[in-house]
Amino acid sequence: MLAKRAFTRWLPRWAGGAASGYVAAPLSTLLATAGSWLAFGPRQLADAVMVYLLSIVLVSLRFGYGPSLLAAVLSVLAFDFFFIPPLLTFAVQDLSHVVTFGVMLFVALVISGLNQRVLAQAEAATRAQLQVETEQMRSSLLSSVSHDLRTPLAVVTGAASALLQDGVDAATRRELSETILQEARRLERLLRNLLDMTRLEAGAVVVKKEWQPLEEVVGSALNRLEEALAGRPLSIALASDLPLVPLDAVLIQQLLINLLENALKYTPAGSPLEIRASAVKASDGAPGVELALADRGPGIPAGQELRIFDKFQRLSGAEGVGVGLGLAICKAIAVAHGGTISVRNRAGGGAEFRLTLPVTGKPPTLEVMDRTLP
Amino acid sequence: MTDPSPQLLVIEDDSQMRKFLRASLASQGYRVVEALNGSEGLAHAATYNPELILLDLGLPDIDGLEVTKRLREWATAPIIVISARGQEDDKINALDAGADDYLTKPFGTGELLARIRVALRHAARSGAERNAPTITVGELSVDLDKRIVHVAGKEVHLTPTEYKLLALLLKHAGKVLTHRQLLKEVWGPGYANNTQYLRVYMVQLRHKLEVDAARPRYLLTEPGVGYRLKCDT
Repeated sequence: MLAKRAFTRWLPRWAGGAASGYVAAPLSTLLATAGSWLAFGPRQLADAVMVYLLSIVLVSLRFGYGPSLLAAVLSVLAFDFFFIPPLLTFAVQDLSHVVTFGVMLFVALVISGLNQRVLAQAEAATRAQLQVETEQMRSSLLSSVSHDLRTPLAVVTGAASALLQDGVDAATRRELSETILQEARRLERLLRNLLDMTRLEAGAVVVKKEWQPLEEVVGSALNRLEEALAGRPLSIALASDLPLVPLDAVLIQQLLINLLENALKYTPAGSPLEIRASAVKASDGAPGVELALADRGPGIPAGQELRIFDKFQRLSGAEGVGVGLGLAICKAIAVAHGGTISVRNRAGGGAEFRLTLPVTGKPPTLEVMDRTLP
Repeated sequence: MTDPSPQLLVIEDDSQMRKFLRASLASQGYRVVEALNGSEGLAHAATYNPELILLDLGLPDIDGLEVTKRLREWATAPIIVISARGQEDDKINALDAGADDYLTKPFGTGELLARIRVALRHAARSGAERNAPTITVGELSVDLDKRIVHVAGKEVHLTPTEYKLLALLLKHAGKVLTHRQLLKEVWGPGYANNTQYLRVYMVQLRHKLEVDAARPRYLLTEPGVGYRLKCDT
């Protein structure tokens, strides 16, 4: 079966779609006719039949049942016309040739039928394999998550029991308390990400889109990370012509927080961050906005630009920083808004994450505007 | 505040959470009364007449929202609700039903005490203070009689609507106000759902009052809930 799948893959993919099969069937019959005629002439009928059958098999493999039936009928007609005396007519002198036609048609049908069954089985096998892989991923998720949950828990337990010991000096007490707080926050982030991912994947998240300024959600995300961002040069350039964007403020804030936390985790302390936003047009001319977060960290290793948005993907060198869900959540939120998220390396070093959101529909109009007091 | 040790009522079913609240509040000199569920909370509120109520929204017997409504039938003490993350609707409903503020679990002592201070200060404000002609928060000062706004000593010109919005936020400085509350007060009951008005005016206000409108120091957004004018507590 594997050989067969490899074989199908080897066949040239001219074009997709059902229509192409009905173009390919006459073409292959034409090729078989020309080939047999040139190679064998109108004498070696058995060889010609084999060439026709081969062309039918190929059509059946590539394009399925319908086109292969067409190829079979056309082959019989072509065989009659070009190889059966009187030549170049559809008339038949020897009635035994009618039997040949019948056998040829029958063999073609059987082969096509068999091929279809094999292909269906191959598909079923692929599905089964996918299921096994999902199962494996689920268990790797469990082991990864339980490891990531256990480590901070162990630290909290250890530090708290150390605090209960007699004779702990004030400095150590403070240090242990800070450790507990830090690890508890890490646990909270982890659980939050796990819950968010589960809810997003289960479709349990209702995206409550409301027309609002991007500036506001950027501001609220930065405000939430005020402490973590201290000591980071941050430049913000939001275009003055940004339109109102239909978005769910809670979700987009979470997306921005995850992006910022990711940048804080993977770039050196004190290295600068930039946030930019501008109105853009999609390739089909649809209006949208693009928001970019750029850093001066190590950048993304070549070939990882798509994978880092997959679940449980962590870049090496940053073990123990999370389960690898932050960016996957960003992607899920972007997709839930009909938008996209991508990353590229910047000239001069660092990575730049880009979020695009569509601005579709009619923005609300404000009927009552007032004038500045004198 | 005349009483040096205000009495607070904590309505919370989780014993560890109560322990944490008791320890944090007692260390700041507050007296704490505890209730393990909604009905006990309602009874204690009537008996002790606390100066502030901390109410967990996820109680075993009565829904926290219901407790808020029943308390508000007679009690004027500020109510701070405690809720889990992701319960934005619960928070909004509790705030619209008369709660004064909210805390999202998990929260630290700093946040808890700041919220309590703001709520107690608002409740304790005397009539004269409430009608004080000027309110100052950080570099922001507003003369309510003359309707003049200054930022870092420089006068800023606002539209009547911007001014109404700012004055309302200033009167409740430090407290969260829901979209609905702000819209009803500034635009009128007919506009309670037109959040886009509010958002556009908040952006305008930030551009006039903040150094960097994308990193506001005063006019903070509480996503999905409303706005808060931040003040040092």
